[in-house]
Amino acid sequence: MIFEDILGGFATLLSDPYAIWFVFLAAFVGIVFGALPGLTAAAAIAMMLPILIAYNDEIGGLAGLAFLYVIGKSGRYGGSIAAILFNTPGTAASAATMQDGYPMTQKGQAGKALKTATIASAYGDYFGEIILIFGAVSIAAFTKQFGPPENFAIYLMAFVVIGSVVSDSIIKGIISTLFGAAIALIGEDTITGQFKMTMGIDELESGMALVPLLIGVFVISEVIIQAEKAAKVKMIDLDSTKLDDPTAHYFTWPEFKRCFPLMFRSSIYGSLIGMMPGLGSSVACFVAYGEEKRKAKNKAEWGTGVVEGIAAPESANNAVSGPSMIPLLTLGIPGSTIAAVLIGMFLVNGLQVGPQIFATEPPLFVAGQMMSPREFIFGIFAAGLVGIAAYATIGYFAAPLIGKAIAVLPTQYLYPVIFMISLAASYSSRASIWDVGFAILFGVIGYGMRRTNFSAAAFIIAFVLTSSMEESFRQSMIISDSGMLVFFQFEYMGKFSYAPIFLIIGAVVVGFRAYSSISASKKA
Amino acid sequence: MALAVSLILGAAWLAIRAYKGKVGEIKDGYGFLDSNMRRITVVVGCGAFFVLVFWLFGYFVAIIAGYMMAQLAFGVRDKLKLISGALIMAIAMQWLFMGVMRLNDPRGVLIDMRPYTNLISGE
Repeated sequence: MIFEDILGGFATLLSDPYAIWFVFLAAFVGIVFGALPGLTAAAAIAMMLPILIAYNDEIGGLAGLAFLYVIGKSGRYGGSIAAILFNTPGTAASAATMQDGYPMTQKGQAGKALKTATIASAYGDYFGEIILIFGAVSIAAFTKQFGPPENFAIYLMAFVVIGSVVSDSIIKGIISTLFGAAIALIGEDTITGQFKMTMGIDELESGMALVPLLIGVFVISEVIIQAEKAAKVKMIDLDSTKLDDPTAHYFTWPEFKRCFPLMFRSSIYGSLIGMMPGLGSSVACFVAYGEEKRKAKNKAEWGTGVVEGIAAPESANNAVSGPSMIPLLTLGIPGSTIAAVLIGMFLVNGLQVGPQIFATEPPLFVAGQMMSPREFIFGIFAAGLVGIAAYATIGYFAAPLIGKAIAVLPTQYLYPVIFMISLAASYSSRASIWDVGFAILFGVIGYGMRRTNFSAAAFIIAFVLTSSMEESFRQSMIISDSGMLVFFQFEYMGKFSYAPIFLIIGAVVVGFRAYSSISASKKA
Repeated sequence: MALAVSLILGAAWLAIRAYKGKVGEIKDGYGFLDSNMRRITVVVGCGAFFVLVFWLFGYFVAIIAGYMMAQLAFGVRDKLKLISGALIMAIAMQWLFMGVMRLNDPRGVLIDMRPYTNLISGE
């Protein structure tokens, strides 16, 4: 059944020329943004989201969603280019790659390092994608029976789990989550029609839009950081001769065979971490690097420039990509910032994320053709599979060129352009000048969060989740004849409830995290 | 309301602790001690200036003025690059966002530039 669905997904994708073009475009754009130190795939998405939404009807829903989905994958890979060539992680997910990547560049083996990263990333990404396709369908069959109390308990569990694991500090993680929730509560109450926390400002009555927040927290905060460093004319000083040793440009077959088991294990770490909301690629890469270094026979050589030191973190951080969609597609919980943004694009196309997304009815009208939600979602999975091949091909042949181009990019011209596009994109989300002001405000807040290690990801995820959480809370109260106790009972409306189980899981995770945090601080 | 009050109280508690010097061990790159407030103010000022010019003169002029300010903030001093870059940027943005995406292009409070900018956006 699933194999037929996958073939159907490819048929859906291939019958939509816009979608194919957007997959390749996303592969390229993601690599470039990922490779630009400081900018991430989330920043690229924030700037392009208004354009994709505006053009959703023209290009078809599949193209827009495929674009966002693939850009997340290629952005993670792109980060390795900056890590290897510039000793600066393009994204947090590639921080571990620097440890062996940059020493290889210094030894004149940048080409080998880049090719290792490309192959390991594609391997990990395919591994994660397979886990996603088979895992999400199986889990969704179970979770589709959930009602409002279970949904609320899941959201609450996600809030505390994301808040407690996403940052070094549990308190900071929880505060970031609560802040996102508080901002999401601004606006008109959907049931009573009363205005909440609008402070008398008419423009706040319709609530805060996602795009200005994303742009503020991810793009304008980065522009501020780059403005602080603006004295530099070049982004990075790269000795381009280090890319030009032809004998060092190959990731050889013996090296691949040596790295294969390690990439397999790292992909498992990455996939498991990816399934947990809040934990992301940055955790996976360090776990894989640490574990594989511990197991390695040549552990003394790790950190001096060995291919294993690139293959392990790169397989793990890209293996996160697919499984991080499992909580989104089975429970409606975004496991990452990109997944949070995808919720908005799904809604634009008339799809509510959650287990019902695998339903075969009712049909949707997307990209000029009728299809079921299941066909649509498998079209996105197919886009992911094609996207991995696309970024791997581009990366394998063009990563050194992209690196060289970025190395000579003058920040003094690049960041003003990014700043202006950010402001224009903020305006375009609702054609409101207030949204530009909000983007600037959240740029300053985002800068502050980055300087003080509060989590921007937890903030955005909470912002996106809060309205659904509020809705399921209200629905639970309507069907409950015992008030709030409905969340603690194993039965409501004559059926078994999993809500207490989710609350217990949430409490256990927070308790475990708090215990390990206190233990670590005592040891220190 | 409870959430908002708890956030404000939490922030006040942190502020009092910071004021008393109970800030814990400060790591490199953490906090605002090595922040360049002048640069931050300049970037935020560029954004605020963009909003003000947008309100007074409309989108097209705001892009020109905002982009020139942003370039200045990033150290561009070549007048030709400043002006030509801003003009190219404004034309591109006007065409993309107002022409292709068909966004609302509001008139400025002081000047209505739309009869001229519509030549770019094609309305």
